[in-house]
Amino acid sequence: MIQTHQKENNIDIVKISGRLVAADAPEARENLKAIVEGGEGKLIVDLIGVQFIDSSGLSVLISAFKLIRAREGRMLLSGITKNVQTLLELTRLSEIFEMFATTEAAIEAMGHPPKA
Amino acid sequence: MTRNRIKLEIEIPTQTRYLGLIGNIGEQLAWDLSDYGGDRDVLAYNLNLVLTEALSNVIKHAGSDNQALRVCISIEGNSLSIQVHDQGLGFDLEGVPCPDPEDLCERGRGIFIIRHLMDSVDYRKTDKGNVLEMKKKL
Repeated sequence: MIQTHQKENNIDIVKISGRLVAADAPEARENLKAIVEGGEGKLIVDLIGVQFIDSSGLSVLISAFKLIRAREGRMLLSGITKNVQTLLELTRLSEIFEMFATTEAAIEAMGHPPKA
Repeated sequence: MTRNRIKLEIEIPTQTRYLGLIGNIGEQLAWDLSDYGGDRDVLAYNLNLVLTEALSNVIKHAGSDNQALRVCISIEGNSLSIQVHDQGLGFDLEGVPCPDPEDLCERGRGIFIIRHLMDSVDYRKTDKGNVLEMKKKL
């Protein structure tokens, strides 16, 4: 679930922790939607505290990604753990999402255009 | 060396709040195996994931909160079998497409994940309801 939401410059940084599964997905999806709609098109989702994620959790990330892309914004993922990385690669979402080891690296990347 | 022999049968309501409980049982099973040469961390995570995805999918198609799901987990030697029995409307396992990352569809990845992590996946309708059966050599 969403643990913290803070704003650094004009970037929304959302930290998710614990389990992100079907039972939590509707609330997490709505929370992220509200943040995207109230934001300035720059979102970093920090997953370092996520112990477990399933396909419903992935759909929450996809939903936020689609929403921010429709607004010509950008969403980056940070704090990717081994298990989350494995699942993102298995589902090939790693080809779509921009991923960084740390939130600091994601903040730095947000200042530069995405890699082609 | 002791040969693994575990049989579990659990009945839970068709509510997503119980997914964590079932997933944790899967993780614990991985730790309790007496004879396993692989990476137990990976096995524990994968069993949690398979059980969570399987039940999540069945609950989506169960059609009612009032019915119970029966989960049967069997480990005999290095053979793992998981069955999820439901009384719901059922779904077409073969009709679930492989997810294309480009189309960013928010559904359909659960079955894909199960298929990747298990050796076989079968869903059939019987006189007593539907059975999702997943097997894997550990």
